Parts: sequence; structure tokens; C-alpha cells
Amino acid sequence: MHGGTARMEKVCSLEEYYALIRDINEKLGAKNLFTNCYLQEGTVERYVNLKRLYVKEFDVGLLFVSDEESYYKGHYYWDPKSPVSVSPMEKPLLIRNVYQEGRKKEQLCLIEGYLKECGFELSDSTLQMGIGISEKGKIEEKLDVRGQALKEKGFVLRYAQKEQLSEILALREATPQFTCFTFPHTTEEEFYAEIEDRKHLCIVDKEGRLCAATYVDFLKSYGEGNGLCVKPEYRRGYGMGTVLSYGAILASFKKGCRTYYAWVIKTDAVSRKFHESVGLRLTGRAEDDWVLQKD
Amino acid sequence: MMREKLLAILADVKPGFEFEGKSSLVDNGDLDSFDIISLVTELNEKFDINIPVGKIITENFDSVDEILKLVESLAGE
Repeated sequence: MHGGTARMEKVCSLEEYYALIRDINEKLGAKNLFTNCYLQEGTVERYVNLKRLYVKEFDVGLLFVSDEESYYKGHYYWDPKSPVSVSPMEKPLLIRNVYQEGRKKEQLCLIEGYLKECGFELSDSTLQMGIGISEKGKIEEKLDVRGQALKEKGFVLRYAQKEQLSEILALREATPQFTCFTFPHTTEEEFYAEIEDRKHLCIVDKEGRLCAATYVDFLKSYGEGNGLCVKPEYRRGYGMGTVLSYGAILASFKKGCRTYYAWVIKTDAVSRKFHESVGLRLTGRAEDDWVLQKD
Repeated sequence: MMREKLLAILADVKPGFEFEGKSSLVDNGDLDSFDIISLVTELNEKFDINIPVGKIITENFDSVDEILKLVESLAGE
């Protein structure tokens, strides 16, 4: 794709977003385009309302860019037969490609080659792990046992409260495993809404102080966990991560989700083992994060 | 013939899942947004069609019959 210096224009409505895709489909033929774009209608509307969705149009494709505050995230519709030329921007640009492990498509391989030529580097490869609702009974039993053991030590699992938001954010900030790409931009209002929707779970001590936290998003049919973090002094011997994971899985099932997913870094054997011990299994889906550092 | 081809594509997109006889594939989470995008790419390529963005809606992907209907309507264009 040529024209890496093309200007970014703000996308002002859902209709405009669809019109842009329609136009590029008509211009190049949908079968000639490859995409990593999985934006749902509600997500597009959210970005539009927040004025955080942009587009870069090129002769042979287009790139939607969502502004995640500390980074940009790229969602492309590209012709993989044409070379890509994307220039660095004023924030790091993340391009996340999803694929089935061991079955990467030829088009995706071509695009990865162009990304490398532009200076993108593979930042992380993650694997999806999941557990189905048929395991609900087992997880409930396990949570009973582990939750009780934790209670005896003076800690309880519960849904987070609004006043804990700053503690949760501070804990995330202090967790070295999280990079600037771990979380999408979320406004304070959205955080409070998430807490109200019981998407944040935490473990607190007798005084109500936050010891560990996790987030689970309830999508149409599945829950997806993200951002599990435990204060360093509670990382060994308490089983807080396990209890939080059980809690997040059951919270998803309670919300009507049939599956719960989490993502683990491909090379992080400890994390993978931990998730396996909780009952999650590899689904075969993988993600590669390609990052172009800022200008 | 077209049905068999479609079933083979679906098996490639989601190995091990039995699609025949299932409905509400999207609502039940059997096909998520990534699956649909992968499926659209495959259908465009294998059936030599162009599925327009306006046709990428839940109703068109909820069952094998619906997907087939979509492909047949576009294959004739």
C-alpha cells in the first residue's frame, strides 16, 4: 500500500464508517481485501461518540485507527497483493492479527511481511484459552473450597465497588506484566458503568483494602477475562489468582455466557499452566501484536 | 455441491464443530466476529463472490441454510 503519509480523517458517524468500507469493497472487490477488523456496530458507535475513530485512505486499502490514549490501534482493509507503507505516528500503532494457530493464511503472511518492512515489530503473541458452561458445576465446587480457605485467612472475593476504582487502577499501574497495550482506553464514566455491571471482581482484606482484581467483559455469548492482577505480597501461597479466575468464569456463566475466554502470552509457560490448572484449555486461536513505535 | 463446499469451508473456519441442523449460530456464540470475518474471506475467495458489508449481518450467518442462501444470491450476480 502506498501513500503512508496520507492524512488521518476523523470518522464522524456509523454511516460514514460503513460507507468507507462499502466504497473500498466496491473499488477493489471484497474478495481482494483482507481485514483484521472485528469492530462491532456498538464499538464503532462508541468510538465515534468519543471522537476517537480515524481513517487513513489509500489507493489500495484503508486503515481505521482508534485512539486508545496511550497508543493507536489499527484496523485495516488491505489488498495483500500490494505492498503496505505505513509511517510512524505520534503514538505507537498497534496492529493485532487474529488467526488459527498453525494455519496462518497466506494473505496474513504477506501483510506481516509488509508490516516488518515498515518497521513494525512483533511485540507479543498470545493464545486463547477457554472453558465451557458444562464445567460450571466443577468450578462452583472448586470456588467453594478455595474461597473458604481464603476467607479463613481473612480475605473475601466480591464484585468491586465504585470507590475502589483508583485502587484498581493503581494496582494495574504497578503490575509490570501489563504493557501500554494491555487495556483499551476507558473513560471514568465507562469504568463506573463496568463496575455497576459487575465486570470488575476483587479480593479484599478485612479492612476492605484491595489485594487483587480482575476484569471480565460479557460479550454476546462469551465472557472474556483480562487484567488479572495480584499485589506482590499476596502472589504466593494465597491462591488469589485462582479464586479470581473461578469468580470471573462463574460471573460470565451467571450473565448467560456459554464460554469464558482468557488470553495468555505464548511464551509464558507459568501463566499457561496456571490457566490450565483453573480448567481452561487452548482453543487454537492466536493473536499477534505488531507495533510501530511513535515518530 | 454448493452445500458440501460450504460445509467444508465452515469446517475449516471452525474445526470440530457440527454446523448441520444448528440455528442461532451467532446468538449462541458458535460463530463470533472473528469467525464471521474469516468466513466472509473464505466465501468470497472460494465462491468468487463479493459479500458487501451491508450483508454481513447476524441473520445471514445464523445457520448453514442462511449462509447458503446468501452465497447463492450473490453467486448469481
